Amino acid sequence: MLYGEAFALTAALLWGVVPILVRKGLPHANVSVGVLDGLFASLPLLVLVFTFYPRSVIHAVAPQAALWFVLAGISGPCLGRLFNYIGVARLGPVKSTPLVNTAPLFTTVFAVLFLGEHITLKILSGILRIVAGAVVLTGQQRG
Amino acid sequence: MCFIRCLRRCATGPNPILAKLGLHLSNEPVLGACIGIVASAIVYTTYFFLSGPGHYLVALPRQAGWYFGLAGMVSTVAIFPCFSRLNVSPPP
Repeated sequence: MLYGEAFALTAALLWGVVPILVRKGLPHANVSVGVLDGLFASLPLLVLVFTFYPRSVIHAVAPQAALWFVLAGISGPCLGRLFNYIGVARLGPVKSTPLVNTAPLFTTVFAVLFLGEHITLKILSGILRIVAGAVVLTGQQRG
Repeated sequence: MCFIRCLRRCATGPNPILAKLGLHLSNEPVLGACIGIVASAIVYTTYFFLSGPGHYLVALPRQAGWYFGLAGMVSTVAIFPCFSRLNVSPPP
């Protein structure tokens, strides 16, 4: 179980660095170019994965699964990244990041609607605390 | 401003759900993440050049290019543990 949590925390740590880098780049360029640059910079990494991964994509991934992955890619690395960069450009990393971190609330709603997952009291409590934290941080920054 | 925040939250919200639906069918988090990023690169590049700000790309200062490139790479690397986390999480 800790294995999954380590993955989640690694993702959170890496995503925590992104707004800082974006903010550093923004005075010199606009958001649209920044997103495109970031996506292109990732392509060599993807080529390496596709080349050295032990199984070929065609054999390992079913077409229906690929469709879901494509939709996940469009929603996250494409739209999510674009709006995240716009948020950082207009609000700054300190103000935008707590708001972005309310994503678990939306993920939970979608998980209940589309995956039929059940919310336990523990999960609900965690989500409410995340959202409350974001509200408190945003309120403090306004004040 | 509020609209952009809401869009960002709504765009990110379904991402793990879509990834999980894909992982239910093919249990390949690494390849799934790669497919998603390639798709997003194709869609965004098409949008970028059709919407017209192509000339900004030529004028991009090297310093900004490094920052955005690094931000993109870090975001991409972060997607792999995210997909792997969905993969190891218990079924509903």
